[in-house]
Amino acid sequence: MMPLIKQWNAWLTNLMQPPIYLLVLRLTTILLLLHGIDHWVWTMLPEKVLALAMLVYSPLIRNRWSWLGMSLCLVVNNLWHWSRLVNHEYLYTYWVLVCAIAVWSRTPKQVLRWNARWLIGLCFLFATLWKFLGGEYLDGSFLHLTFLLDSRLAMGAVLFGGLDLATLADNRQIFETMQASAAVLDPQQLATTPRMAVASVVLSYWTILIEGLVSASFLLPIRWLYQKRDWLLFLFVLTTYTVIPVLGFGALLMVMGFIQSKSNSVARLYLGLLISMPLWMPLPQGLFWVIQNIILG
Amino acid sequence: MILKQSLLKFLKIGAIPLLLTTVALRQIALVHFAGLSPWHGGGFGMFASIDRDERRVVTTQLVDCAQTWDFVLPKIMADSPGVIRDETYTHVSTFPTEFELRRLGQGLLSGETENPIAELYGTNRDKSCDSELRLQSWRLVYDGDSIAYEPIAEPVEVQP
Repeated sequence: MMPLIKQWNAWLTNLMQPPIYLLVLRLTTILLLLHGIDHWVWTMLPEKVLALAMLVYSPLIRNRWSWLGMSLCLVVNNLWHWSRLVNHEYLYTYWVLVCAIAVWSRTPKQVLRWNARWLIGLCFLFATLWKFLGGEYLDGSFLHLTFLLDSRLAMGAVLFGGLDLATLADNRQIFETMQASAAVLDPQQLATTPRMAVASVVLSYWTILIEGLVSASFLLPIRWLYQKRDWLLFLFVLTTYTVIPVLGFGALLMVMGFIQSKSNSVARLYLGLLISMPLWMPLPQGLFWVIQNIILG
Repeated sequence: MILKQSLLKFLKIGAIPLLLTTVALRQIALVHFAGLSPWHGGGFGMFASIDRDERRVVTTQLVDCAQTWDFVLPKIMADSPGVIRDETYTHVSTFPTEFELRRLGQGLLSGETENPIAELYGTNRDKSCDSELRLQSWRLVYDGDSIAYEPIAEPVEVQP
């Protein structure tokens, strides 16, 4: 096992050869090529073609005009589909704008590092703020309903709430029928457990705590907290995305975390988590599926 | 020279964080005053609210001289492709302003595409009965026991 870890670390260290900003640009380009392919719209075609060209013909990666063109593609897409896009798609646009500014500047690494820290801090600040604004987080009702209706959280509903998959399927059926018939005046009862209600409140406050801490550690000039920022971000990513896999968001956070990190070993950890993300992120859900469908039948 | 340097410095360290902040504050305002779904618009409100656009409903009623007819838009979209584009319905559900609802309603009544609402409206008009289309958007709520819908805004009444 140890030789494997050593080899893995050596490989990551080799990837991190200076100039480090070029690696960040490459990783960003790979994410740009892959993100959003599950909800494809034709207006994405220019950015995908450009990303592919930048990866195939490597001088384009540091070319100022290709990043300006990429920024233009993402900004136009963002303006066109503004009401449809979710958080991390906006974050991709901001990050590409940062990359464009970086390649036009004389200090690309510093520009990437500074903006990565602020973008992470601000996106977690607004995510935390929203938990208070909506009110559905403080009483646990958001997570409670999400566990009951969102099939991506079935594992959490079974493990934390003691519900079974058949009950969850019934709940989803009740909601789908209600929505499909537009029966807005007939409330429908959903099956749940007291344990699910308690777990939802506990997990809600955990989320507020961890998101608030990530935000504070990246934004506030409090030395001891700032020094813990990378570990808080790791804790958030590992505890959140193993339950709710959001590959696009997690990957971008790892790229931004990687460049803003001041320690080589921490940067290597970011890079390792990013590269192994397609393996570890769906792993708990995969194990759960195997246990539920094959072992328990 | 000083101005140029200040501008360049702002571009490098402040412009993009400021852009993120501006868009996020705009999103919070649009959610609270214009009915935008908290999941969209760049305010980082995903996974913070039940009010997700996919869970919203836009009710559609044709009110004529004698009675009220209820229509389910997703069903019309499935039965008569081309009446409303998926993107249009998604946009209206996500951001159901009076303008967007009115535009959707006028599209349904215009008769440019075959759909049961336009057909019924045409039949009523032939019988000299003026009818109007009433559109209203609703969000899902949960009280820990039951799910229900509550209106996002007052219904919008549309005539061609």
